Amino acid sequence: MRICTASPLAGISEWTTLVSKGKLSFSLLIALLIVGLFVLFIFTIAMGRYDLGAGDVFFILLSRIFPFLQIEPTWTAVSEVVVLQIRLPRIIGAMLIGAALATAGATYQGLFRNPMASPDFLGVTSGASIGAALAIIMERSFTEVQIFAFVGGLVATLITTSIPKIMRNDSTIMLILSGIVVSGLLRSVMSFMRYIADPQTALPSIVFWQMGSLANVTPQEVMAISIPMLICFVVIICISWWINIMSLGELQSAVLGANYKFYRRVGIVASTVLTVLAVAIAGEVGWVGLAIPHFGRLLVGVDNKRLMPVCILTGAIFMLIVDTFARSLTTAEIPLGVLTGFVGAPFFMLLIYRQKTRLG
Amino acid sequence: MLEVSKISFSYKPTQTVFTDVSFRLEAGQIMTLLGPNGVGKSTLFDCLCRLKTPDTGEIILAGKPIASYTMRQLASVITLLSQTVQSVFDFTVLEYVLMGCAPRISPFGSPAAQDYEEVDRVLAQLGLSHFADRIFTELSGGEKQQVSIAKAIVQRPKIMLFDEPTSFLDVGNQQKIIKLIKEMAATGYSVIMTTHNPDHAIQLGGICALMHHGGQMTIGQPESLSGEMLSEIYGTPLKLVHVPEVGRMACVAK
Repeated sequence: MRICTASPLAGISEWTTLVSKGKLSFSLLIALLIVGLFVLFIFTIAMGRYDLGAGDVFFILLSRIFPFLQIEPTWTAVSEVVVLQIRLPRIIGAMLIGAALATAGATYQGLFRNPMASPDFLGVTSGASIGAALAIIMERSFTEVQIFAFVGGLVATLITTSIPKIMRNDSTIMLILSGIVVSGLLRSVMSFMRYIADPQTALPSIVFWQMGSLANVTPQEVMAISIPMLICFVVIICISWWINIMSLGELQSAVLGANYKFYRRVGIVASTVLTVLAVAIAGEVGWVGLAIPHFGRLLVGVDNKRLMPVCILTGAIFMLIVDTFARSLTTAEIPLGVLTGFVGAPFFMLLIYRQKTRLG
Repeated sequence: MLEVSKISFSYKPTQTVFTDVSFRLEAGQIMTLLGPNGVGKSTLFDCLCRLKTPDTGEIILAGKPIASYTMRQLASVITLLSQTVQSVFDFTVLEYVLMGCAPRISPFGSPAAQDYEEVDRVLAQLGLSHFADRIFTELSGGEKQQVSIAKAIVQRPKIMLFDEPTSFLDVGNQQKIIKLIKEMAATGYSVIMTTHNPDHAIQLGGICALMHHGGQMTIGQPESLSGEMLSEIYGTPLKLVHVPEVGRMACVAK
């Protein structure tokens, strides 16, 4: 392998050439990502303040998935509780949320013909924050905060998508403008809520919620989000090739006989559900939905049919790594949104650096 | 193949684009559409593709009124090659041409092996095989036009509408596209093409339609074009002269 020190992304650029020149097939890349994700999955469960061996983790999971193997426990009961009750839900949650945000971001970018679109493009995140803040101010339980956030995110998206209908202008640019207006307005509402929130109790909770965290995620919540998320992944993969055509605009779609409005609606609904579920569980987690699709394009090109599976896998891998840092880097939890920003923003800059010839 | 009778279109009651436009186009026939900027040539194309609906009149496509088609069926009979297709994403030529398969692909499906083979075959046919992995948006104007034609062929329409295919092209590339369009018609496609160069109408033969400022259309053979007619629609003195060296009429400005 050629060693190149000139570009900080030399490794990635070699990968890209490998995939695009057909030397590394797409299926092999997917296989490698799946293996990588699985290895990370086992090792990140082992990592943390309570020390576990990767072997123990593997056999604990194996004994649960295939009880008929009757594996003799060589681990302590505490290890089993840590693996199954504490780390496993959190790690599955992290993978789902990373995959969801990356896929929603890629879908929005394709549908809105805008490489700068992110999952909170239509005001989902701002709406969810208001929902959560409302529940916190009303001193509701943690689960209710999540439900309020979910509803808030949906309501915000509904407002954003209704404005173009009220204005009788169904163009995509109108929807983008509507998203900007609604997000802006909701951010002001959010500031107001923070202003009136009790600075001793509610305010810190709101602020912490907004920074994003998976610290309190429960197995039930992960179960609750996983099925709708999986359905949305399947839907997006089914329309992924058509998103290519949508990205050429409404006129080109019509000329090719593709129902632009139908695919736009399906894409928006699926991406919104993915985003709102992710945000309801984890709070505001920025940069993943913007940066991961760009990283995916660097690996396999812009064809959404290839991009979506890659986004699901790399989004999961990215979030798994970041969340492991969040829970084990220091003795206290580091907010997830803070870390994704620290990692995501410079990473995005590197991606832009790599694409510099194509900008401007 | 295509029968347009007495269609008119206006954006507002006071703002008529064209009125009473009628013509017939047979399989393998070429029609060149001449007319000044803003006269409604592109709007006429939009009506033929049902992107816009004319206020009056009827368009019969392959024996059926255009309104009876679904968008998907329509896309496998008629296609429009726009002046500029802009993509914010760097699709390769292969990925771009593959989109032409859309009318045959199930609404939740994606291209299969035979679609890829068809794209390979069409690219080879047009001598574009070496372009397959190039980025579409990075191609030159002439190359983009050829790739768009490849995409249109993959779409398997019977009628191709070319909206100013020679704009932004140098003379060499213009002639390349004219030759390609002639070949397309020879293989059975009906072609309507708009152009700003009356010479192209003369070179292509077939039918020539002139669109006037008021939105009326006159139709005839390119041989019946006269300098006066062209001078009138373009509002500038133009002459049609016979150039013996090339053996045809040519349009020149005074």
